[in-house]
Amino acid sequence: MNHDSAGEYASAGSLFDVIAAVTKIATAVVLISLVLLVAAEVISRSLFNYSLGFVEEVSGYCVVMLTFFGAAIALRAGSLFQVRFIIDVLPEGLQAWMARIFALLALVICAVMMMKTNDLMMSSFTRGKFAPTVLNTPLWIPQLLMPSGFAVIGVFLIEQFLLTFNRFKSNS
Amino acid sequence: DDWTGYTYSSVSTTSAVKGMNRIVDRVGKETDGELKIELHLGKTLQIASSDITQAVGDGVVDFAADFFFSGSVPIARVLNLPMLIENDDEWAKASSAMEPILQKAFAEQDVTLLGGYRYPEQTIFTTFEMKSLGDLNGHKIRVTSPEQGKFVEAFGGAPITLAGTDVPTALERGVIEGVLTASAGGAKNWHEFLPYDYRFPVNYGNSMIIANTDAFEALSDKDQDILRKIVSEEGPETTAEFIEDEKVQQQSQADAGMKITPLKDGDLAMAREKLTPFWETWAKENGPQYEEALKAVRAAIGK
Amino acid sequence: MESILAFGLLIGLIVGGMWVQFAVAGAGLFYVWLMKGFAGWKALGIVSWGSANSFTLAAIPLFVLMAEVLLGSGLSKRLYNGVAPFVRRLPGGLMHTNIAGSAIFSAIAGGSAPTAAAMSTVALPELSARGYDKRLVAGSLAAGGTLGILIPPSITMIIYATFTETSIARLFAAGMLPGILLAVLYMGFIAVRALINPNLAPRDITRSTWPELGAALLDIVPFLLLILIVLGSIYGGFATPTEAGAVGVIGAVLIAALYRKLSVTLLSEALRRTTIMSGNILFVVFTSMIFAYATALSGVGESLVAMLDDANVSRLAFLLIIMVTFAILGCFMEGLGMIAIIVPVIFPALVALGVDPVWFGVFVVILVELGQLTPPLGVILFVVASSSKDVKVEDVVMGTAPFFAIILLFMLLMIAFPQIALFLPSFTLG
Ligand code: NA
Ligand code: NA
Repeated sequence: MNHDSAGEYASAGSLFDVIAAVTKIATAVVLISLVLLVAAEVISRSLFNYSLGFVEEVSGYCVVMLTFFGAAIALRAGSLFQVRFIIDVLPEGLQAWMARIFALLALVICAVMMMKTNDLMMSSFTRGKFAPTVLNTPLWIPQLLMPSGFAVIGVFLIEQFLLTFNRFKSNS
Repeated sequence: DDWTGYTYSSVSTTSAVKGMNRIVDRVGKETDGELKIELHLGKTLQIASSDITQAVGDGVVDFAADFFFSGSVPIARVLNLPMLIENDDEWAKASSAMEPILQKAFAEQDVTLLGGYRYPEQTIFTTFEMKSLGDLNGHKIRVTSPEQGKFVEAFGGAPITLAGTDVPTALERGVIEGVLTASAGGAKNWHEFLPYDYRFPVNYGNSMIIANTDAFEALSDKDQDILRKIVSEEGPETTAEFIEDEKVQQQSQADAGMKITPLKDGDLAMAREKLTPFWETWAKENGPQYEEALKAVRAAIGK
Repeated sequence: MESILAFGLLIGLIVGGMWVQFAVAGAGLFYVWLMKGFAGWKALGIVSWGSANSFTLAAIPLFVLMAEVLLGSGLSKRLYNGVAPFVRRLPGGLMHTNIAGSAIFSAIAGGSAPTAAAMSTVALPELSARGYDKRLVAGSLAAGGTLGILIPPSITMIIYATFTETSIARLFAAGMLPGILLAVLYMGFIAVRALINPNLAPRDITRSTWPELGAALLDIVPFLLLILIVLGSIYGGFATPTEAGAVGVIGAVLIAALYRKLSVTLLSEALRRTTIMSGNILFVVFTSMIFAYATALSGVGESLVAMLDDANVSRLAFLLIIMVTFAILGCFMEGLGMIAIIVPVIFPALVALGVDPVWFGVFVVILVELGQLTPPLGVILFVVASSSKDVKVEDVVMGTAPFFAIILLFMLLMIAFPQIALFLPSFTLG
């Protein structure tokens, strides 16, 4: 586990930095909205006896956003849980190879998840499915968060893969 | 064929799950093992209850009991409009009028509608005493659909949406002050937090029994018929058991100290009058299909 | 057979050093493929949506954000200084501050890592400078940190509840008394150690003056206020446990503002760290649910119940088996993932054996605490060790060992007297 404090991550180029910056801003906005939404519901219900009626639904979408885009940022920050006691005692060359294999394997998993969540999004779109709530949200819109989240995770996995080769290394 | 079966209900002792188990057992026996269904209980498969229609349509699940279908087959909500259907007789007429419409709507989702069952009427369970609908005024009531929300609002109450797991403690702590449910449904789990029940029938809740169309059509004609027949027998049987259980639960809730107030004279007519315009605006907002469906139902029950 | 292969791959990938989340997801995909072939993967979309779209899990980013605001604003130092004058004359001196301070911080923070971080960053430099035994200090900080998930609010309990449909408010009430009792046991142990070997902790005999105590109390007040706001909003009927997280964030921001610590840097740093931490946690829960889907599909849980039934395993034996399983897995797995993988499998068996799900929730949380204290992967060990250059992970491990034994004893106590956990929820929630 890596408790970063400096906020400087290994980077494989400015394209990755830009994607990361956009992701960070988007998740921060969603996190702030989550706080304000839930607090507004509590206040409105307790003081004015009035429920906004959509907070539970929208909070769920915020969680989806924070799960996938937050995971992407955590991956880039080197904070995703990892058990390193065996890998750390391996010779450096072997470590790099294992890192490469893990990055590729994770990329395959990510690609499968992206495809399957994309299929669901398309299914909801063609079926015209919506949330049976006051907002009547067409579900493909929040579901779009899943394939796009996996896409961003995939981008940073490619970066992790590139970073196992010395010539791609730089610091953001 | 080996089918994956799923039900939204996670309580194995409820009439709903018992009925599904009977179907699964009988299907295995009566098709001589040609069709086997493995039934999974609610939440175990990480498929949200409101996604079951889609899960069946996409072939993730082959066979299911589907209660929360309104996001996929919204036209079915006609049957759940508050005050439209007030008793068993009206329910029978209305649902047969809706039958062809529902068949078609589910077919559009790649789902074959085989039958269904119905819960007893949902009445008002509260933490405060209610003698008539007027007593809803100013109280926070948990609702599970925008239509129920309209009903609560119509009598000055505050409709609250809340996750099911939060309900018991929310009742205990006064975050909400009531729920709309059946004695044999949610009230079974929450009765210790609900000292009052006003027997006003707000609406009925019903569950569809459905199959993935491709999977169903891949069955032999004989097995299709067997499955249809079993569902058409066990669906009504489940409904009957629910009605029976409703009496039993109501009695045991009364024995446990719940104060049960009978329906007040005039409340039904008053509420019907208040909500009739809502049916029409609801149908209009949703489109001509909905208006036709509502017209068919109203004609069938003579309202 | 499929289950053994899938669990084998899962453990292999994790121990081999793959990111835990991808190890769990990969093993889950493999598991589904073994049972249903590639066609089985078409469920992944709808299962992903059902797993990720959760209001309850919103509590995680909310409680993490609240703790980050407090940490970033330096209010934890204030808490530490506030508690010290009240406990420093006990045998063991300021080490009691570690425990008492952790217990109070736990009542705000949802997790153990933030609790341990909050106390360690303040206490470690302070106590090493005064000649305290660094191992015992590190051990007391690690032990205090574990209170974070036992004393409500608790993210671990929220995750347990999402897998078992148990009432979060009940779980919170159930964790309170065991948390306080454990804190008392820790303090008792420290006092005994210090009496036997006074060299471990210099005795501070300066009597606190009234003005000093008054000033100290003033330092604790913001925390008591925040505890009052968070727990008060739950038990006063204003908010559900999930919603209380948002109330707490607003409260923490207001308190930081009150002490003139609020700044754009503080907020953006808190948001950044919260995104990373909760993204990490939510993603492990998410991938575990994919794995749980495969587990449920395989019916291995039902087989386990049948097996236990045939073997006529008693309740006690079953609980001991679970303790051992968690202890082994806890050496190399992260606690939340452990809950997410194990609980759905064993839960039917528990219900069959008549184990109270609320009691078991507390039991599991304490098992997760143990896992956080065991090397090689013990989150708390790293957090404490990383708070000071003078303290190595080995020191923390050695210092934690006696507390580890206390926790084990406490678990047996809980099996013997389940009322320790169940008294408060039945008292406060009926
Ligand atoms: Na806590
Ligand atoms: Na560990």
